[in-house]
Amino acid sequence: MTNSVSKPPTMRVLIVGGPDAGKTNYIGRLWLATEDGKSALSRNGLPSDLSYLSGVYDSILKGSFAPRTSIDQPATIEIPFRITGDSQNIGCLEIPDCRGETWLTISKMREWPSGWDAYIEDMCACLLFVRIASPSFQPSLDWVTVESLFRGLPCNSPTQTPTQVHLVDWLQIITSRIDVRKKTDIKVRIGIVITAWDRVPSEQSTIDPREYLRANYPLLDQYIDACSERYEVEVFGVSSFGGDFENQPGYSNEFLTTGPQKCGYTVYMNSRGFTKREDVTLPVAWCLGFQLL
Amino acid sequence: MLQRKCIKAECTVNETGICLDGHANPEECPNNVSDEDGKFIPDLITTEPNKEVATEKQTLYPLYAGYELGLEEAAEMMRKRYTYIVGVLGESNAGKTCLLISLYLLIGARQLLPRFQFAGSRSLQGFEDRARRLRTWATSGLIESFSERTQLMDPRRPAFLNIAIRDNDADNTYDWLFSDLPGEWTSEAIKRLDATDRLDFIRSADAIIYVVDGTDLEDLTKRHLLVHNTNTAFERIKELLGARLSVPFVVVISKGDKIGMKLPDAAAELTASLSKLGIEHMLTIAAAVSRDERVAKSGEGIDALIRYIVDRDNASAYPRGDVTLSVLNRSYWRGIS
Repeated sequence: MTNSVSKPPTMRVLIVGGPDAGKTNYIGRLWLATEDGKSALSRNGLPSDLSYLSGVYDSILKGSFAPRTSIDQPATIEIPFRITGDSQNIGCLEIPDCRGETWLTISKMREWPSGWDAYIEDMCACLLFVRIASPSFQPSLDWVTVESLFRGLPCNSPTQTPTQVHLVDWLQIITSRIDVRKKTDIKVRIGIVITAWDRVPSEQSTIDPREYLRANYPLLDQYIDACSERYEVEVFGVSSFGGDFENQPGYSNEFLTTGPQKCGYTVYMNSRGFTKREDVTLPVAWCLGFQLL
Repeated sequence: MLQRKCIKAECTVNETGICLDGHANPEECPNNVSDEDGKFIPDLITTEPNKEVATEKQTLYPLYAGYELGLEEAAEMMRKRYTYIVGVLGESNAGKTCLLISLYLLIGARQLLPRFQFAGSRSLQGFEDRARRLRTWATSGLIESFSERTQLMDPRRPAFLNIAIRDNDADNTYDWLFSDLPGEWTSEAIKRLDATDRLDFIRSADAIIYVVDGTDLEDLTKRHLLVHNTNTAFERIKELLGARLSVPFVVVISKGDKIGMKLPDAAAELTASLSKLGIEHMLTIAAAVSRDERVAKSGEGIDALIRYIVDRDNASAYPRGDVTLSVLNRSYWRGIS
């Protein structure tokens, strides 16, 4: 990722996930983290258009979750960055539209926006978002429900596609586009970001995020494991703000008092075991090739 | 109750409940309309590679449909990946679809590990909709019990449901293509030789699963006709298989939870018939979706039939090599390495 002359290289990361997966809040917190000089990624100037990001961090800096991304927002976010402590390693992080509804539309209409092929050109890195206790989470069918359905009995059957089915579908779609474009030698980097990690029960807060995935998204977990030749995977737990503004009474005040830049963390497993770092930029940094320590 | 939907293509209100135009009550949105025609027969969605749809904003490339594969799509997959073509046959309501749904749910919930692992599927929505009784054949006898959202598939075209299964013992991954056919195809083939043309793909199948309704096999008033028809079906299948009589052949006695997970006495007649025809086989009982967990757990018996097929294949107990799959007057060579 070194740049010796003019324009910094553009590094693209696909943000994948349905509505309420925590993508927007993560992006906003990511931006703030690039200002503190302590995170793996640091800001290297300002993007030409800050309107989307300002709409997000505006809420965060007031101690609130960012509003839902509206359809009128720009489709691509750009963040000029450098690797902290290495001024030679710079680039421009480009993230396309992260509206969850866009991914649902892709699933529903079975159509891929041609402009996104740029994200699967020379390298392909994705951040796949799932959120703990998301109101939009759709569970998988259980045997009891299926049995009732087959007997024609009334039941509160969830008619919507399970969240993990969407996630596998999206990864397969990305892979199929890579295959169509004959880029089969590309190993896709997939960072799975489990957001709202602060909502994990305290006795489980130090578990391997991959174990959480295994228990709660077994279809997805099996898929990425079985396809290890196509994917390089890392699973992160992220708390963008260190707590929950809506479900934790008083946390908003605590967040503002402590200082937004000091709240938030990433958890992952390395050779030493469970690791927690107060650096929310790590998932993106890993996508860009940064080695986790 | 009338269903409502949004006619705005990119709005996902039906999935999320959130109107993209910002209406707090989606029904107040002018794009939100009621669907007065609850039943329809959509064409099987087919993708046309490289067919682009230009919109005002950008070009959109079509993706694979995600429900089921037609014959040509199945052949396309066979050319690119290691596949098992599995013919799933049986009369109407024998439990064929239930068996496949059970397999999907089992593997999704990690219940076939440590040996068998989910490695992908191009039929995810197909399985999900079938499990919810939202997608079925237009000729299904249970049509009255389905909701207005049920999609009725064209019974003239076969469908294949795909699951990629990784065998951790053998360290390989195969794409399984299970046929999903109306029960009438089997019934008609029993009666008329010319109706077996529809089952031509059986000639190239890597395995056959024949599903027999266990409760009917137990029922004194139904068993004799069922045994007679099933034995006739076996003869038709033998004609289709030709020299490939060692292809893994599994007879599944379904609805095992309702018959105490015990093989009905009449099952012995089926075994005798297959032996007489020279067809190597396994006969097993399964409870795809159990109504009584005290008798059997849901999915019981599924693991055994998958193992049988895979282990028979690994032993290469039947002739492999050049096999032709005739599809709509075109032939595809499927070289098997």
